[in-house]
Amino acid sequence: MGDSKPGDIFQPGDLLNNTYRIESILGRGGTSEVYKARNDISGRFTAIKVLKSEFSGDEGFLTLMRREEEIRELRHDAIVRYSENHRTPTGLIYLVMDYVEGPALDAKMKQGGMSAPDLVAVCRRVADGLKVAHSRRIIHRDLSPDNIILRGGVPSEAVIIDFGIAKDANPGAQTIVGNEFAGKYAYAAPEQLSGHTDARSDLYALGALLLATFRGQRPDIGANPMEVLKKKALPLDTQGVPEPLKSLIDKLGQPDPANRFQSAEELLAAIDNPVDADRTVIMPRRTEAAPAAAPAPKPAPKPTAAPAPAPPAKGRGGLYAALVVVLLGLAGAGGFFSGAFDGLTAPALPVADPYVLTIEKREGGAPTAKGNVPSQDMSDVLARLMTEQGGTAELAVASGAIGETWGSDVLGLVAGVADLTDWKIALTGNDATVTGTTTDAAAHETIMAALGTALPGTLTGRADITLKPQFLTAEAVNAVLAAQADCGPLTLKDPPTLGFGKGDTITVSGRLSGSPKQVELFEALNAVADKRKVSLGIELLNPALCQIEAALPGARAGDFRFDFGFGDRPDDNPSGRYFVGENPVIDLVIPAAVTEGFVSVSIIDVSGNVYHVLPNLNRPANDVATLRGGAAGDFKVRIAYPLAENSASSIAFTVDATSLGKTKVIVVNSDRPLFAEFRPTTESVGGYAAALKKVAEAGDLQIRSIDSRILTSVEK
Amino acid sequence: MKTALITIAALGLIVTGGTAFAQDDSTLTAEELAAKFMAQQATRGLVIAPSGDAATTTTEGAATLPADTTFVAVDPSAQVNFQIKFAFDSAALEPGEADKLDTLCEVIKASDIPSFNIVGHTDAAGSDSYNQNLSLLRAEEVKRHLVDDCGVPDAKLVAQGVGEAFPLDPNDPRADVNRRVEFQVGS
Repeated sequence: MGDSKPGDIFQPGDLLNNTYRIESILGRGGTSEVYKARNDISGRFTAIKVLKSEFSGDEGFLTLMRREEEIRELRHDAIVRYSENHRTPTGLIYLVMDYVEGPALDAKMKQGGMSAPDLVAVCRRVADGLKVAHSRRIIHRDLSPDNIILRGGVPSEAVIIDFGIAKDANPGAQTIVGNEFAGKYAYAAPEQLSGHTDARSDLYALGALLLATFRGQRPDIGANPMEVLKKKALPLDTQGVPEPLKSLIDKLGQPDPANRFQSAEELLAAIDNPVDADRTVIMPRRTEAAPAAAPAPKPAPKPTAAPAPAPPAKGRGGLYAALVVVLLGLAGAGGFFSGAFDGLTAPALPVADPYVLTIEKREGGAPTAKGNVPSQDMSDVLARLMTEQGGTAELAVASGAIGETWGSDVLGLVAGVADLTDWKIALTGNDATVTGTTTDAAAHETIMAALGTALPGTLTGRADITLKPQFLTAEAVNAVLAAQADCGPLTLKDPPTLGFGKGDTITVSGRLSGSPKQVELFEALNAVADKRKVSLGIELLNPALCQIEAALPGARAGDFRFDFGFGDRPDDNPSGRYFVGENPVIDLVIPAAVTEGFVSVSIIDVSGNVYHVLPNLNRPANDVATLRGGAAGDFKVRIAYPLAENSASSIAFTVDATSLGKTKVIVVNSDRPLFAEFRPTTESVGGYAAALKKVAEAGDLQIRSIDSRILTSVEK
Repeated sequence: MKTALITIAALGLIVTGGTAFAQDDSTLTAEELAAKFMAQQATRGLVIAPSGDAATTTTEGAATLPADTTFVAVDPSAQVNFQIKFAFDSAALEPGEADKLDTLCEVIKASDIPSFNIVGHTDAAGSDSYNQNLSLLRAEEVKRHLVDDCGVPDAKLVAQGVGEAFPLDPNDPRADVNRRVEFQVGS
């Protein structure tokens, strides 16, 4: 744990999401920093990994953070528990995970190392965690002494942290940040140097880190790439390491993956059955050690009194047995629930009828328990469970119409739902209703398998747990956008490939017909956003302009330009804003590159009228060659004239006060005339939109480009 | 909403009031309008006029109807001369003209007559084909207004254009009054 520096992203005391109070910095890395923080609500400590601001816009790193969040799916005591990605108001992305209190192996290494038996315990525990990770095809890729922490200093409670560069080996998944070698050379398997990684690479790293921790010093892997390659080609040097650790490391540290343990299960089998392990260990290289190798003293069979932690049981009985054991341990005593109703204590308790108990936790809140319990012990345990998470308990010890194992059954339920986002257990007598939601598909599956059809022990009723997808897909958002768009398509800005995570902002851009529609869109998006932020970058036009927007064939913008000026003075009007009474003069500038085809210029005003200024009955010529009359370069064509020049073929406009807003001037460049007949000089936007639609549907006309400019009329 | 932000200031484009040649029914009440439509429907069989170069065409002679039109000229006195006037070279409804349609719209919606023809006309300026197109655009504009803004079922209205072939003022084919849309009971 280091001292904070002024350049750190967070400082002690900083409060994130009104919840996480930064306590200290745990580490600084190339792309991220890790802090210890305290959850102000629950009081629990968490570790917070924040992506440096320069990377928070980098999709590659974001995906990495998102993927790391997916490690949540791995549920094992030997693997740190991940919560979720968040985003600060300034855009920093951070990932919340459990804070594991205890020394990391690198601290132990610096203190001179650890004993061989302790390291075998670490090995067993880490192998157990790797087994689960590998079974989900998740490879750590960066196992090293600094990301294995001994919870409470106990070797058999080692926890693997920092899956930051864990690579998803599922087919189709890509390596995210380039092809670079993200692991650390010191403990990396030789094949990782050439970019190959599989589960066996983690096993090599485990062997290397066990060896380093035993010796109390970092491995010497050479000073340059050549040396690194050479040294990595040799098996790990385990001279002087006592058995059985030596044999384990020897087999873990083989340069060729084919000569290592092939899986974490194989490693576990070798630890649990050393005889078998001895026989299969390959002991090359150290010829001088050969005499000792043959009659190697068998290590004493490991006592089976302290079995390794059981893998998470699939079956309901196993799960509950484990949970209840945990709970009883927590209470510091065992077997008292069943005694709650024996003849000695029962008469002393008041009778509750109905016998009710409600325990619940809302999302982001603290749990509460209220109602009846059968014993003071259960009351204590339940109250402690609540207060440990910042919650409250209002419990009355009473007897009533409940089964014998009611107390432990209920506590089992509480433990079973603990990881849900929100949950509620409502009991009346033996009848229980369990509801809750989770974003974790694996947790959902586990809990529904356990509780979906029947509740434990004496309890009746069933659980109904809802799975809320963790990611909101771009398709789901696009469906809303498609339904709301009334002025051309609305687009989603940079939708993440995996969908929007919890802390992501949904950013939408496009055009809408007006602010009521914008409000409608905002509400529709919020309905699906599920607390994600919604950010709208919408240009508000008006219904008339939107009709045209929707009818225009999807052509690219060209290099045509409109120059705005005034009828009574030679000034330009670059802003395009005109006051009431003014006389806009508009020139179309045909770019030098356009020497043929046809141009159609129309003015669509805020009231719903369209003025076709070129071509029309009085100004029929709109082919570029004729307009240019042989002139090359950028060529100006006047389309709105000063009042003084007003005539049927030189139309002049004034801005009147009856209706103010946005008018659009538009030029379509096509290979043939846009319409078979001239449009009337004046028509409605509806008429023009219908005609454009017909043109688009006929599809026999090539639209080369469409350019436009907005003219805004304002009150003086 | 129907007032223009940008006023076309060209003198030649401004609508000028013309002399009415037939009675204008746009001032009638809803009841009177409905009665007139009913009467037209009743007498319809008696008024037979050929399509094509109809006898009523007395303009410069070049104006003939396109072959595919089903327009049948109706005795002006029996027709509902509900004239919607248009500016020169315009298919946009003037704000005042759109207001005139409100009463008519209610009559059409309430009427059990299944179909109405909306017939667009132009003056004689411009080519035949241009005027044919423009007259249709005018009829379609009136129909769009009745359907979109007033809620008349689309199927109840048939828009057709007859170009410059049936001027209201045959003696002055370019007169403003010839630029109009009229209503008939449909078949």
